[in-house]
Amino acid sequence: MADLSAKRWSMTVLIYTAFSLLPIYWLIILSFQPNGASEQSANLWPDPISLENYLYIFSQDNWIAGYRNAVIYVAMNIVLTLVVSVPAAYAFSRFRFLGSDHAFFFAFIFRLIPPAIMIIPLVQMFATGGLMDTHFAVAAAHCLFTVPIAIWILEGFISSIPREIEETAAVDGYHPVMIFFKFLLPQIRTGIGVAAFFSFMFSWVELIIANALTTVNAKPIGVVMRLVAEPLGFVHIGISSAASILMLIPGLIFAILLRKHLVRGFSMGRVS
Amino acid sequence: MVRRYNNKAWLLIMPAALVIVAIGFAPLMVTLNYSVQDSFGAGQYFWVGTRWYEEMFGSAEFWGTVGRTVLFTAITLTLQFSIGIFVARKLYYIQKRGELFISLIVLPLLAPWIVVGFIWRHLMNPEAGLIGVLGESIGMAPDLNSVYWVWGTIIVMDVWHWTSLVVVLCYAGYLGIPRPFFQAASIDGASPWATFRHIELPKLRRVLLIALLLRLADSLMIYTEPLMISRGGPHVSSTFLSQKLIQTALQEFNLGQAGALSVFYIVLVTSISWALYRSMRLQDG
Repeated sequence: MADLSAKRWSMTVLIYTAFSLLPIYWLIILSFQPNGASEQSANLWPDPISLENYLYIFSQDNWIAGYRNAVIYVAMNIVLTLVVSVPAAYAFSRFRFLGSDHAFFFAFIFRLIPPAIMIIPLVQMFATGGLMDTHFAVAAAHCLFTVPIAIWILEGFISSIPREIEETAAVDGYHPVMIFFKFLLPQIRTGIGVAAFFSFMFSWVELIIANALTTVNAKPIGVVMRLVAEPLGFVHIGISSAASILMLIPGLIFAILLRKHLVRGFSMGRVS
Repeated sequence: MVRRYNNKAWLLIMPAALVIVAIGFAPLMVTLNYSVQDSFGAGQYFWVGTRWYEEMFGSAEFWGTVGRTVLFTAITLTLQFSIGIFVARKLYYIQKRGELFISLIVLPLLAPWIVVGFIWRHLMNPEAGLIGVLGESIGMAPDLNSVYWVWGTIIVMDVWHWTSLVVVLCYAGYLGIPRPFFQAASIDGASPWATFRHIELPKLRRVLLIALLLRLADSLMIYTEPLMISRGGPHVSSTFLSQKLIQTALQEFNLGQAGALSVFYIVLVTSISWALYRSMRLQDG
C-alpha cells in the first residue's frame, strides 16, 4: 500500500469517474436526438442522430442572446473580482493590521449566505440605482460570493512567494506599483487563473440572483431554459439538453486549460 | 512568514471592502429592518418588534422545513465525505495519471445547477430515463410522487454533484503530505488504517475543514436542484429553507416573515461557520 511508485488502475476511481460522467454522457445523447425519441425510450446511443436541437437554439435570437449575456456578466465578474481581490490578498499575505484577523472572516461570511436572502434587497438596491437588467448588476452581485474565495486562493499563492524578491527590488529603487507588475504578477499568474476559475465556477452556475436581477436585456441562457421549460410543466428535452451541453462547454474549456493547476487551486494555493 | 504590522494595508483592502459592504452589508441591514416591521404597502412601515420571530418559532411548518434542511445536509455530507475521502485516497495511492481523472471528476461541479436538476429528473423517468428504465426492468420503477423516491433522487443527485469537491480538495491535501511520513509508517509496519488515522487524517484536517465549510453552506442553501426534481413536493416533503424563503418573499410578498426567516438563516450559517473557522485557525497556531 505504501509503495507509491508502482501505480496501477484503481477500480474505485474508475467506477467513481464513470458515475461522474454518466449523467453528462446521457445529456450528450439526448442533445443529439430528436425530442420524440428522447421521450419514448432510453437509448444508449442517439437514435436517430440529429442536429435539430442545436440548429434550433442557434436560430433563436433569445437563446443566443441568453448565452451571450451569461458570457458577458461572467467575464465582467471575473475581471471585477480579480481587480479588487489581488491587492486585498497581497495585504492579507504580507501585513498585519487593525482587524486583519477578523476582516477576512467578515468577508467570507458573504460567501456562505444563501443567495435567496439577498434577492429582495439587491433588487431594490439596483432598481434605485437604475441598474436593473444590466450585466453590471449581476456581475457586481456575484462579486459578493466570488471575492472572498478569490482572496483566499490568491493569499495562499502570494504567501508561497518569498518576500525577499520584493524587498530587493525596493532596495534597487523600484516603485511599489512597478514591483507589483514587474515581479509579483508574473509569479502569481497561476493563482490568478485559478481564482478566475473559482469565480467562474460560481458565477456561471448561479441562477437565483441572475434571474432576479434581469428581465430582458441581460437574461442568461439558464433562465431562458427555465422560461421555456416551465410553462405547463412541459420540458422540451432535446432543446434543454442541447442548451445544457452548451452551458457545460465553457467550464470544460476552463478545466482543460488549467488542468495542471486545478489541484493546487483547490487546496487554496497551499500545497507545500 | 513574518507579517509586518502596517495599517496602510487597509488601502489595499479598500476596493474589496467597498464592494462587499456596498453589495452585501447594506442589503443585510435592509433585511434586518424588514424583520421587525410591518407594511401597509406604499412605503408605510411600522415597528412590530419580535412579532415575526414569534410567529416563525411558533410555526410547525417552519420547524419542519428546518428539520428537513438539516437532515438533508447531514445525510448528503456524510455520504460525500466518506465517498470523497475514500476515492481521493485510492486516487493518490493507486491510480495512474491522477491529474487526468481529476479533470474529468470536476465536471459535475461546472454544471449549472438548473442543468443538474434537469438531467436527474430525466434520468429517473420510467419510460425514457436511464435509471428509470433500469429500475422499471427490475420491477422498481422510480416514482417522483413518492417521498422516498424524491428524497433518494435528490440525495444521489447531490452526491453526484458535490462529492467531486471533496475528492479534489482531499487529493490536493494528500499531495501536500511529505513522502517521508509514509515511508516512516511503512518501516514501522503501520496498518493502512493506522496510517490513515494517525498520519493522513491529521494532515488533511485543513482541506477537510475548507471542504466542510463550503459544503455546509452550499447544502443549507440548496434551491434550484430539488425545485427541478419535485417542486418541493409531494406536499412539502422536499421543501428546503431557501425555497420556503423565496416563496414567502416573492410569491406571498410577506417581507416581514421573509426577513425574520433570513435573519434566522444567517445566524444559523454564520455560527456554524464561525465555529469551524475558529478550529481551523487554532490549528494554524
